[in-house]
Amino acid sequence: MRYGMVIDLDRCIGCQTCMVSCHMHNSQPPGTWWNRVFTQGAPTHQTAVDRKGELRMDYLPVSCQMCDNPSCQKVCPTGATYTNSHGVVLVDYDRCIGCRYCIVACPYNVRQFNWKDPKKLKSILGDGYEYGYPDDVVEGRRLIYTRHRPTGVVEKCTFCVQYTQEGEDPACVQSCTGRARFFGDFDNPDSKVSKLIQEKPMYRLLEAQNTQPKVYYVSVKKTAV
Amino acid sequence: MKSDEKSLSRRTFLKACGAAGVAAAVGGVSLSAPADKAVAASGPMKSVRTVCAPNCTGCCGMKAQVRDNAIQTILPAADYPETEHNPRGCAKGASMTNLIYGPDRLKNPMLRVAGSKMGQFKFEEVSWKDALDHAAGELRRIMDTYGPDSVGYFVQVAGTGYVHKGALVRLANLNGWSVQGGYDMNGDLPMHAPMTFGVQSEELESYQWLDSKYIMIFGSNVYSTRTPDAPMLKLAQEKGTKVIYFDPNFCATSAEADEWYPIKLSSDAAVALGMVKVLLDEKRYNEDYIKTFTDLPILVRKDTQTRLKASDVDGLKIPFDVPEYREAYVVYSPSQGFIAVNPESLHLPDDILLEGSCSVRLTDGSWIDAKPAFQLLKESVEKYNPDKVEELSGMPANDLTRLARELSAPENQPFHLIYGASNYQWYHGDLKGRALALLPVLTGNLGYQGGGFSTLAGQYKVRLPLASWWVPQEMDGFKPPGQKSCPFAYIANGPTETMTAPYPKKGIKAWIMLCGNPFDQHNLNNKLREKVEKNEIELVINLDFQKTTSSNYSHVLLPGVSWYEKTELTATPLHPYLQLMQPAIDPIGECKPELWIFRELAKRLDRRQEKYFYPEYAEEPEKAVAEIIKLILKNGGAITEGITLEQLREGPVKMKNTSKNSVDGKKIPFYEQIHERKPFPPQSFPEPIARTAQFLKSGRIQFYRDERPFIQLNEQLPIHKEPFEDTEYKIKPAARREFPYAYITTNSIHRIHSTHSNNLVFRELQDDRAKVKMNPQDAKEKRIKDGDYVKVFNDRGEVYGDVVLDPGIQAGSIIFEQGWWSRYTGGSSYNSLIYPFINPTHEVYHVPQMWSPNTSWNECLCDVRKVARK
Amino acid sequence: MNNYRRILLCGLAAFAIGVMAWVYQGMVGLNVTNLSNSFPWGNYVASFEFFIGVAAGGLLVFSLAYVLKGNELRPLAPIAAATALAGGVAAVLAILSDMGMASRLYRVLITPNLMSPMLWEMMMVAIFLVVAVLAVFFQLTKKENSEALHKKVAYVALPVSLTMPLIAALLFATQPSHDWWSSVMFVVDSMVATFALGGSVVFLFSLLYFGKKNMQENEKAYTRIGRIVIICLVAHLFVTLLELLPFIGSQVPANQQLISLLFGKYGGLFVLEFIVSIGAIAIYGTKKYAGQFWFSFGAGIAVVLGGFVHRLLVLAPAFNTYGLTLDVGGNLWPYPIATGTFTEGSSSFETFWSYVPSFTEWVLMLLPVGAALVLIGILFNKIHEKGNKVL
Repeated sequence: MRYGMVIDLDRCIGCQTCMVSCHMHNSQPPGTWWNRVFTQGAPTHQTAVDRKGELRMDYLPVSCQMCDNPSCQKVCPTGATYTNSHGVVLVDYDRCIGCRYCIVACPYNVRQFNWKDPKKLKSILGDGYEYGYPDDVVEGRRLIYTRHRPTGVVEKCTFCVQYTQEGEDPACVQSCTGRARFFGDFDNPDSKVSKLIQEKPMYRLLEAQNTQPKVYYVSVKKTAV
Repeated sequence: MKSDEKSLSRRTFLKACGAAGVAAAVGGVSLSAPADKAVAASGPMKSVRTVCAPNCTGCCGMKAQVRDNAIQTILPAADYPETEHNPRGCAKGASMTNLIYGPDRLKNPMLRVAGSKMGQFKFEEVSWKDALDHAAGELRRIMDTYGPDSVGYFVQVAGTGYVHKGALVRLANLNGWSVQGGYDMNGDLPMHAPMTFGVQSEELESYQWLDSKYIMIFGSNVYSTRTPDAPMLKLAQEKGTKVIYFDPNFCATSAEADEWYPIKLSSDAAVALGMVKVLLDEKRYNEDYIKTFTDLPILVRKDTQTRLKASDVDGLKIPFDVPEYREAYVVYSPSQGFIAVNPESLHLPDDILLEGSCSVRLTDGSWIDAKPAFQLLKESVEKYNPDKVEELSGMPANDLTRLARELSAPENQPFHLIYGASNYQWYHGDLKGRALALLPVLTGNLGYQGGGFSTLAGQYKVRLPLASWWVPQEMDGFKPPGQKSCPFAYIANGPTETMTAPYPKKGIKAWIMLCGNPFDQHNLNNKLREKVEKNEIELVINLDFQKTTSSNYSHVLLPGVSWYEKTELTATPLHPYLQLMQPAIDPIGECKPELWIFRELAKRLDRRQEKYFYPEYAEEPEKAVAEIIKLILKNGGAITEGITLEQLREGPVKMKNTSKNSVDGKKIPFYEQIHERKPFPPQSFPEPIARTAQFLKSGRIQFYRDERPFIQLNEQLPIHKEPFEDTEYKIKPAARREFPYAYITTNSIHRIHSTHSNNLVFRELQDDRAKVKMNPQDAKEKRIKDGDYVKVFNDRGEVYGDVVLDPGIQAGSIIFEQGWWSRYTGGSSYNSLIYPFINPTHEVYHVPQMWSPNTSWNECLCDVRKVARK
Repeated sequence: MNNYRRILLCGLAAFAIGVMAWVYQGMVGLNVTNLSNSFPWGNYVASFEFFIGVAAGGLLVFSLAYVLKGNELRPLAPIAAATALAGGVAAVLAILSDMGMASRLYRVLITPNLMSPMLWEMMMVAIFLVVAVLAVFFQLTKKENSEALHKKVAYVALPVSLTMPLIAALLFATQPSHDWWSSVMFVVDSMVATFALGGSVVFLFSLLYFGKKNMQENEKAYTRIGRIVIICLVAHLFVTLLELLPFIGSQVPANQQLISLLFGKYGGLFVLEFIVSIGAIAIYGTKKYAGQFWFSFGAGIAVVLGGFVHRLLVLAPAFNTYGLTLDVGGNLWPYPIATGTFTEGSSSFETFWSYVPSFTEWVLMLLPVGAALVLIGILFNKIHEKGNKVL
């Protein structure tokens, strides 16, 4: 089983709902964003970009690409970063020593480090206020989701392992108003994601680095990277 | 949405570890013996469906996951039976808990510390009894001293909450207060709608955009302002619908349209009339439709420029009754002669004239010339040839002609035109709207599925008859005086000579604000602040669930609840569902649902008023709400037939509509008029039909208006008028030189007006800086660079922000995203620059929030200068 | 109290301050640095690489002292060995300062990932320390006629000293995410830069140990070590140029960015490194100046300075050119990174991170520096006690 995602850039409206939904559901502190949505070429989101005389606004959501050949996993000295049986690259918050080599290795810059106590950082949002999925997720003695990660460990998108374990889609997919996000199993040729990448022109980010991402972008109208 | 396969479930093991984890995290919460601590701390999770409705028109069903009376996560409910709607939601709704639990949450009733300065947050927490006693006492004093109509109030906006927000309307009716209608206060009342169609406004529900073949959008940045509905445009395009967009600036909607035309500021009327000329010249219009449904065949006198009245025509019989709010006019049929037009009937002979001229003998014996309004229209648009239009608007002549032909081509029907708020919020927004309305009407698209004219602004719409709750009747000898209406424009501006709205004799001395932030969000708010500082307004009661800038200018703070803490009935113009907000959690702190607050005020103001608010459910507001909803459903007529409260508790319920021709049950605006020949206008709740029918005395769509101000201003028919000539340049000719930029305030995807301005998530997404968007060439001339801190100002006010150079911004404009709280913009509100010019045509009638002076936010000029960072 | 005692006490004081800073960092989190998600390694890793350089260079000089024909470097052997050990210990402490969860380091022993270049590095450092300890131990305890034993250690030390910077370089060179690193040239450059640095440090320590008066006596040794440093510096400059060639004129957006960075924002540092290298080469290469205490000393300091700057320049240009950079209509646009920190009035998303080590980072460097000084103090004292009797 290889879980992956397809993002239809023709449908993305750049609303950043997935970005904020991810941030909230996974209890990320201020400054930490597992999922980013920006306008290609624009210094500020949703401003016009002049591409050789033509004005455009093309959005590009980027989060962990769930590579089949993940650079991050290779470099982790303790094996805290690993790929589970669903093809999801995860971080064991109990095993990470915080060396940040994986952050250095990731060419997509999707990994985030807890430079400070995230619980303290989140406390500025309200006294006693806690947001995000509240329960731990443990997989074979690895702690792969917890609401307040310890200071000094690395974290990133998990394809919302707390939801996919229940057969639900990740938060970004569920909340995408543009209906631009699709999640499924690439090992299943009949899955929506497998079919989509056949139906529309598709590309992946930084193909030349041979990371073999499982996040695909499809688009007819919006230019490829 | 479910993924393809279920993953292996490690439920039991996970639950145990999860419980341990949460116990470790939560720590001290323990309701039982230590051995059970882990289990007690992580109680069961329940899912509650409510509606997120902050006046964005989204009205999106959301599911809150709740544990231990605290919301953990929020997801779109995505349970609309018409699945095109799924999912609805946005980033603001996704992070709502930041406001519910955030540091600005108002949790206790508060009274201003005696003697403290206005503008500062100097309050002390008090009990509800003390707060309410004080508020009611002060209200009573002011009512007794200055008259009840000197208590003003507004609701932002009642369309989002029929029960709780409606409770204030009920209270105002009981006390004879003056309402500052939110719709025109917010600048959202699209006056061209009552002028042309006799309605408050009208629009297609967004899933009907899928049924259009050709969509023209004039200045509505749907992709930034209508997040849950914008995807319908893309889905329509996927099906082959063409989307044409007109906007001076390249915004998110420009990027997605098939074609974008950067026309000059506020030149849409010229473009529309240019297209009308093409339609008329090339006979690309639906003659039968025009004769049946519009006033264009009605004769207009040359001498007075008013419509010819049947009662003035010598020898003309009027074989029908004419209600006092209507008038019988005249058309001419070659076969039947002059015919009196029955305003209550849409049946006239096929051969009535649209063009030409008539000689008419009046009852006094004199002869006058008269022409059908269509003829006058033809003559009026003669000058809008493609080259002239290009000169006025920048619209390329060839494209103008081509588009006019495309929108009227058979293969492109139905044709739908969308007119945006930021576009009609100009002084001549009505002229533009009336001109644009010609396009779908001349081509016969109004009243057909997927076709017509939509104005997009605000969750204003009262979709049901609500008088059963909003308008209290006489009870036990107590006769409710009924509320007055005093539009906000007159509070900011002072009364005018030409106003038709009532103005309280002693002015407004007290102000009750419900869920609004006018001390940031309304124009001349620096003047408004002054009024409070100088004690001209002696009492400001602020009912909200957050502490906003307006709290700093209030005397009493009453904490209400968010839509996760109460039951409420709500709807939106943009989808067909009636939905319930439902409480996911108990009210935070000492907060109370608004219904409870208004009942408490009522009984203190006058003991007899208490019984209007279900006193038998004194401490169980939820039960009262249930009764009220049942009452509303019972009195909803055809719209709520068969809909029960129990159904609503389960999920969204589609309102009934009478559009029998609709292929899939979609509500078609003006259906009865077009298909059942009922006279215009349809009713705009909550006003009785007579009040709005007077706008269309002919009983038909009116492009010709013959009230005196229209004639005086030469606006009988829509024409193009330049922006600023009748406003800024008129009051200060030197403004041409001194304030060279148009000051345009747009909506941001990071807020709903000023809601979420203080949400940390959005501060992060905006680099925690208010942005001033400039055209790079303009900036270069001013020697301003990207990232510079600037002051944007005119004679009236100023605002501060960081410059963003945007090549999509038309030269001569400065864009500021509205909604920032003053604390983020150097202490001053962006609204201090904007002057509420009152258009005299808006004073011809006064029907609150339906014919009332609208606020033209964009009719404003400014200059910009680099300054040291504050 | 002799000088070495003084050094030892200074080292202890520095070490104590470093420990306090480390504890403080442990309590607050690595937020006390000026690092971010877009610039995740800084002073600590740069100083780690720096100390690796010192250590490897020291061990190389030590082994060359026995391996090379002619025994010119002999007098410097114990100094070199001590340098190697001090450098190695400092390196370990430097990298410990960088760990988010240093207390979990034992996990590397329980669940090591053998694919990880960082694991190789840790194993390499472990081996290195063993060899360095042996070298020092024998240097201090063995009698003068243990030449054969020293030679055995030296022959083991040689490949170890050559391999260590190689592994250290592989930490970077194996990462295709940063073009600045992923080339053979980078590895070669790292190695020669290492030896230039290590050699210079040994030279510096020797100057300090033997003093001004013994310049003449140790001329041969100094000349030999000077030559080694010169060769390494020249090679470093040459390889750096070779490294830059593929970047200049490259169409890859990230590479174009890198060049503009190197000659733009980091131009000053780049030039500085260049100048000190040339200066050191000039001094070491000129008999007149090489023979003078202060010139040689100055050259050594210059190389040390240049060496630290070099290690920072390994990191900065790499982190500030993003692999995920899009070519948008001819303009390079790096996809903004979520920095992991939010400060009022500024952005959480950056396309460039101006890294200047924070005050705490500098103070925390006293941890490895202090430890090194302690070791130097102890070891040099022992060497001194043993007298100058070396083989």
